[in-house]
Amino acid sequence: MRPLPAQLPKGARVYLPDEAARKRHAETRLLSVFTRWGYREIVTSTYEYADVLATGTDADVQENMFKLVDRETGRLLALRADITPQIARIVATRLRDEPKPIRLAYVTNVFRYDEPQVAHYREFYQAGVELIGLEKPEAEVEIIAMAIEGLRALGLERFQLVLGHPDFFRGLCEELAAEPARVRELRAALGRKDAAALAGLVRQLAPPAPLGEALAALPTLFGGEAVLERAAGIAHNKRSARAVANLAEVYRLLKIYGLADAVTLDLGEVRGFDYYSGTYFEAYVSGFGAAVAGGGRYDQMLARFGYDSAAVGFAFDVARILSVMEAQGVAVALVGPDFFIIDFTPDKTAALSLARRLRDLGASVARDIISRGLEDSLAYARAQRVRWALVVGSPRTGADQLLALDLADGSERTLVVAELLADPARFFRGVGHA
Amino acid sequence: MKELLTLALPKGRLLDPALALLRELGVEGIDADSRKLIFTDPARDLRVLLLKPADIPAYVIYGAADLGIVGKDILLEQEPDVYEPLDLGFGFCRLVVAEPRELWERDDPAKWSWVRVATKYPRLAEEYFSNRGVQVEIVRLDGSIELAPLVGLAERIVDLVQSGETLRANGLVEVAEITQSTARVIVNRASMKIEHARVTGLIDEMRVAGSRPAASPGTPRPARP
Repeated sequence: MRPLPAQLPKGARVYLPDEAARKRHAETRLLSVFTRWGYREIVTSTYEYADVLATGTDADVQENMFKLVDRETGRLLALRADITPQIARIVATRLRDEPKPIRLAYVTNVFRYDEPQVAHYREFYQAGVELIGLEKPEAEVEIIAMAIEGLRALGLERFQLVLGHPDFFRGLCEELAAEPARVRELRAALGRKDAAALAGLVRQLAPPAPLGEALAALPTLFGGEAVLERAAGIAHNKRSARAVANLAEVYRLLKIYGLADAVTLDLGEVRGFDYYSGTYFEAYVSGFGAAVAGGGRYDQMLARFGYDSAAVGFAFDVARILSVMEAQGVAVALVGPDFFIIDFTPDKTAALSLARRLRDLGASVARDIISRGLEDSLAYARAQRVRWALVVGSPRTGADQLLALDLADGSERTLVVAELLADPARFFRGVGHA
Repeated sequence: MKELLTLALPKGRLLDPALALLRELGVEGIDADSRKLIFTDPARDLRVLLLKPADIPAYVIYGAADLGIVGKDILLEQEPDVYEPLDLGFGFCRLVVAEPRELWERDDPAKWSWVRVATKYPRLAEEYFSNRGVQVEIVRLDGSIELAPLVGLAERIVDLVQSGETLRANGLVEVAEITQSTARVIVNRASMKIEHARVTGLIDEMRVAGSRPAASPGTPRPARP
């Protein structure tokens, strides 16, 4: 026998109805936070010319793009692997004359040939924002505040946003003026937080003492406000000093916002997109082993598309958000239809008019189309998480009556169909007042 | 209540020196001879898991363990997305290409164009040969690699050697060294951020204990009173 065609390619992900409801819940919560901060949704195309997409995309993400050939032109197409360069291009070409700042939000799928792990698949979903045209630290603070508000809106607690600034390390590297290969080694050691390897490399490179000390101190530049003072004390080049000053200003504003407790500084972190030009962050939640959101400043991105403008942005990884909500036991109420109408009469007129009336009032109404016994119908209704079952034509009720079963508490009432049609809210609280 | 920090230890050759290190730190209550795989030292808020070495990166990537001790060979093979802050120095060994002596006597590695090797390290073996322009057929095995050439499963092997005794006993000769390995401490990315003080505190203790001459590799040490 031929096997059923059930295979999925690696990294593809299906959301069954309950999972889809949780996903929709999280996305709606996040989008509503973005909307409340004045962001408007934008939708970009799923595929584009690969070379155009590549323009703003980091090299290692480019390597992991899904590619296909355009039948008409023979040019290489790619699925979006990062929405930020797409939005940067759209702003540079289509929205550049709009008054600034431009606030854009998105909920979208993204495709990358990543090895699936820690709730991350090859097709994954991001909910995020871009804030364009604001070079002041208020921009970073706005997206950090939104990230925190988003985490709270999802019901999550015990989270930390870890802030870094790539220019601190870049400034030290410029000062070091070592070969690119040695800088890569330094960065790799720092990326592993391998203090011994870092110290070994610094010994070999033998820079002037203050610079050597600064490089060796990188893994220890982690913590609260005191980190800024220590970093300022060891940054003797302009670029690193500017990075510390910028981070300090962001931190000062976060304190005013009352958000400093949710934030940790880590100047020794060198991960993140190469395109970050300023303060960037990753969000970690207790009980989950990977970052659930990340973002930062990328002031050079729009210039690659011919429009020089400051920009910041961040995104939540929706699948990881769902995992972490589960890990922290955040319950999402999964609701079924308000009503399920079972009509045993041959002409079904009562069912039709009741369904229409209740739906017009905003209630959700499913009907039992299959002819089966009452118990089977009710079992189905319970499986669908129905609130109330309405039974027309039951031997226990008169011709003009129906049986209303409350599936939540098991109680039942006999109602007159005409009275229910006249004023459903009288019998079912909340109906018509949604 | 403070949550326990979880440390994964590898069963096998790295276990004794790892346990010696933990005894140096005053960690109590691990009985490696029992069939238990999970131990708790409430005084230190520490939970210890005993795992197969190759499974340790997975536990740490997912945060099921905050930290792990594992050989560099496994990290090179699996390339897990974790921090690797400390080289413990013990458990030194080398990953090598080896072949039977009679083959070795007439073999010229410069003339290899196609080889078949048996190994537990398919990725590293593949990378080593393909970087030299040699097409490689990998026979992935899980143990007793040195048996493969003796029964004609593969002409050559890629395997870890410590003293070289196992190779000699099976009539095999080392042809090339691929890499060297020692035990490393790895840390989950989120744990490093969220439990930074406790995680770095534990790593610092390990660093200090490991650099004391008393904690030489493989020497079991009595627990502190």
